[in-house]
Amino acid sequence: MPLAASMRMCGGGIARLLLVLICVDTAVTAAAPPPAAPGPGAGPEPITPIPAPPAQDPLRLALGEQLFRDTRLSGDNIRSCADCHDLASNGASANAHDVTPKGRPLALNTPTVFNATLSFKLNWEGNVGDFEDQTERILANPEIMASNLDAVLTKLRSDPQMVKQFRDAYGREPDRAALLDAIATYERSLLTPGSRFDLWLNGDASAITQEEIAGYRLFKGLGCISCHQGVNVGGNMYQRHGIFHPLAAPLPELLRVPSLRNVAATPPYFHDGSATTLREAVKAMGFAQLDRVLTAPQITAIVAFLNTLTGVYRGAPVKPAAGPHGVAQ
Amino acid sequence: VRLSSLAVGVMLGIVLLTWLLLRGIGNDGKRYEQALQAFNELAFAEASLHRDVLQARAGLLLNYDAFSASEAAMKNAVTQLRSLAQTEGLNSGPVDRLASSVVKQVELTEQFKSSNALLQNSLSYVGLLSTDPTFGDQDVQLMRAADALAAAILHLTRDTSPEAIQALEGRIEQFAPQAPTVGPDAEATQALLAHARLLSQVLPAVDRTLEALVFMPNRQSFDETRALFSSRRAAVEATAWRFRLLLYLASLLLLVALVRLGLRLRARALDPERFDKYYREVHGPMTSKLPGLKGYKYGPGRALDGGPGEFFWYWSGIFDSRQAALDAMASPEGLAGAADVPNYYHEDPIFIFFEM
Repeated sequence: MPLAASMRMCGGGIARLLLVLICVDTAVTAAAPPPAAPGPGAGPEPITPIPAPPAQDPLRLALGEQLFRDTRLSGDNIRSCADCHDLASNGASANAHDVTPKGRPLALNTPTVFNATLSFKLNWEGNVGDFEDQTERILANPEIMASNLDAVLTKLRSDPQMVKQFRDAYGREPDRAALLDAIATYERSLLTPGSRFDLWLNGDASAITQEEIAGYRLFKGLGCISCHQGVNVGGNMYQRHGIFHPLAAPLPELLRVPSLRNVAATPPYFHDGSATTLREAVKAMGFAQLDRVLTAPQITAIVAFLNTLTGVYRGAPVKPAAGPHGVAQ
Repeated sequence: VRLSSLAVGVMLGIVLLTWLLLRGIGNDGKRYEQALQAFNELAFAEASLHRDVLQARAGLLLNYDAFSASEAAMKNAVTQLRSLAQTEGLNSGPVDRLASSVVKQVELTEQFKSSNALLQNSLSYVGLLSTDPTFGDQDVQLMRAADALAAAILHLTRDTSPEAIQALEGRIEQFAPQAPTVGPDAEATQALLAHARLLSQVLPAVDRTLEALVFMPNRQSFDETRALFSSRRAAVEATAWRFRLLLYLASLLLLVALVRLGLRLRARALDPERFDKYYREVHGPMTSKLPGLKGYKYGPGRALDGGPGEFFWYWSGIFDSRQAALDAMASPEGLAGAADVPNYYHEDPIFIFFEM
């Protein structure tokens, strides 16, 4: 049996590794402010249409809505957010002052929750920056929900169905962040687009009448627009009230300018709910803030314009809440 | 043993080179990029805010919604810078000062918006009254006084110096006694007087706020914070450079080692005389000691035409059986021969059995 061993000459090869560095120049783009709304043939307007509601997780949205109506959020398990913010009508109540758990009237009128997300601050005083903070404060406020986050969470965690909903929406049991986020998510969805004025802003010249357009021009000409402008027709600045003459209750002196969206459907008016009709409110504002005694035709024209600001929620126009002042003006 | 040692060496080399590479890249590049982005957003938002404030003062801005967006962008940028500074363990002082300047700017902006709304509101009224053909049509003196007052207001909108304020206040004092309290022009005249008084206070206040906002000395805190991140980046970059240099040196050493090894192998492979001498003097005699070897021979391989063939050397041995050959290779003499191969060549030999 022969054994042969042989050796092969091998040529060497050069392997080249080419490293290519690809530099991607990412342009820094900053969000430009939204353009002013072009009115039909009238150029840009200081009021812009309400945008479409932001895309939200439907499970979180549904959970937020349920929590908004859940009486377990109050200390006495009697009241829910929806008790003072009636979403079937105007997102508020018809009362000049809603009441505390002990039956005393609250210091300020309840503002509507509709379109609150479009305001730069929340509450009449504009002392809260976002819904999460506001919810936490309201839960702990003895004048409103008279509870606190921990107490609410304890109640919710004892409900298997609620725990399941939190798990489905957030992947965990009810906790502080999820609770606040669910309610805030829901409140951010409470927009009322589709008002006739917005249709007009979007180019539908027939959406509002000539009288209403005249009222809008007067609204601008008199200077009301100085404070009531932007997407929420207000809600983007602070202002003193009673500039020339007293308007309503003197305190608080500085208010976040209220939005005029759905104003025809949200009586009573002012922070103390002292104006029961829109005509009354317009007249008082003209005198207190503009030092003008508005004539009846001027008030009629401005009210006609303000009526065009009523939007639509879930397919139905926003309407006044039932109650002592819940009558359309 | 040789192979496992080689594998361990290669693994250690890979780990070393990878470590040097990662340290050479630097791990804070993304955070520094985020910081630069935050600085850009802050500067852009400030510039937008200042532009909008000036437009609003001139009555050219349609609404204040953009202010909120700018304020939010500035706050977000500072929050991000604070978070990055904490992550990097940087001194929080400059970021705190920058945050304070943003808070101050937001406060001034809110003051400006409120005052400017009143300003525009009152100017609207003055404009409305000045262009109302029915106002003062029955009282020329009143109309002239109102025109003079409006002119002083117009002057104050362009110049809010103490002299201009004094001029308007003088006009107001002149106008007040003439303003009727009854009659068709009474309400409008009293309103004009009230707006003029308001404007004499609001106009200078608005411009003071505007000046404080636009010329706020916040550049120092901005630069300090930016220098904080730049210094950190420079230190990290210097460290990264050192590791990159080490990586380069390691690569050079590796290259030198590879070249030396290659040269040695090449020298061995391409030195037939050395191969021939070693084989005949050392390796060949070793093969003669293989147990069971019945005969053997070796020598250079050639192609049929006498030129270099596929194999340049052969060793041929005769055993009683295939198993005998295998036993011989596994014997101490066979193992010693195998261990000797690297002493004269860099590859393993090729073995072929065939029956005779």
